[in-house]
Amino acid sequence: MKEIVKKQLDDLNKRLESLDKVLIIAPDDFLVDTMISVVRNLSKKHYGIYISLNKPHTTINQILEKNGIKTEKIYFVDCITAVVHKTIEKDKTKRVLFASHPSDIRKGGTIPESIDKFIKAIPNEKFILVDALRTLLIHNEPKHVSEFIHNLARISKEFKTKIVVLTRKDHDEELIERISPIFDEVVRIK
Amino acid sequence: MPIGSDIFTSLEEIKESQILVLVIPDKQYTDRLQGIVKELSNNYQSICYVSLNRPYRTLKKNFEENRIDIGKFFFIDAITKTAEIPTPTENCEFISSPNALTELSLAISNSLERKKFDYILFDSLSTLLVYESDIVVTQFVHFLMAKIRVVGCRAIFTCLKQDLDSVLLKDINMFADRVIDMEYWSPDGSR
Repeated sequence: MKEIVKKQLDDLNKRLESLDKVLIIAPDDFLVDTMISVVRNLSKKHYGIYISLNKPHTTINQILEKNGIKTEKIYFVDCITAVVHKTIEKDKTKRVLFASHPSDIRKGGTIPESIDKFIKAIPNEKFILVDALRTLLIHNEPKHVSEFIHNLARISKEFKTKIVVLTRKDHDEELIERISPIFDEVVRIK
Repeated sequence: MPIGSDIFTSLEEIKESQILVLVIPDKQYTDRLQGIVKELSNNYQSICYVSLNRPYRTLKKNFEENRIDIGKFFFIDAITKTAEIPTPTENCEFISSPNALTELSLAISNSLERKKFDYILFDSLSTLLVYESDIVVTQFVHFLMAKIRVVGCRAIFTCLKQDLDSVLLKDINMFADRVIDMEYWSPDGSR
């Protein structure tokens, strides 16, 4: 990882504890490093609900473990596996819920329903991480993505849950501008 | 040794990548691709070659000329049917055209479920972009890469350098493990 990116991530992690809702915009080739850094930091104190849109939860779990992050406190809403695999093996850890499709984000959809189940089931301090806003926009209308993010903000307030939304830079600036006021801070990794 | 060889044996990071996207300069494309095919056939037993650029017959001839073991390959050919009715072939499935994405997706998914492949070689993302918009191709590739991960296969997707700044390539960086610009890649890891 470039030293300059590492420094920005270190600075972000120092502030993260005091922020409730953060949007992080990173270059596409540093998105995974950014995710690892944030999860490593937050999972020390909090339980995590990881909304995996980019890759199946098994891959994300491997990435986290390979980077020395303990994943026992990370719960997954896997939004991709059910689309591509007819038979989903039952998750023995009970840390995974499978959403039907990355586009199932509207009220009553399998993504918000799964988030709701985990939010209610985990009594401790927790964070929700969405990887990535850009992927939601590949599969959804911007207005539905905007509603989904607003709903996360409501959850943050109601359940005292930290929200971290990742996205890649150089795209979707119009929507980012529109939803920016929801967040305590919009961090741009350069 | 054709350029493009040694890609699996040199960098640990590349060896560990389940899904690689190789960005290849136009002028090097054929040589690089041939090097990759040779490397795959030397190191793996079962490879699925998805060709959106060259018909099966041409690939077969090329493999024979370069002494590449065609027995290790299963082909999904999206070109032949655009020009003729193909002769049924045991190790090849013919798709009507490169823009028949549903058909292509089904052919790859069925092949992945029927056979155990070590690698999928997808030639190429750039061809998909000729026929479909960035967003349609991105959705297709997102699900394809997820499928490859779920079945535990590995894959190489090729792309022309001219598409390096496309929305597709930037999006795909989120779904693949590595995107490598082959113009500056060398087996010793130097750039």
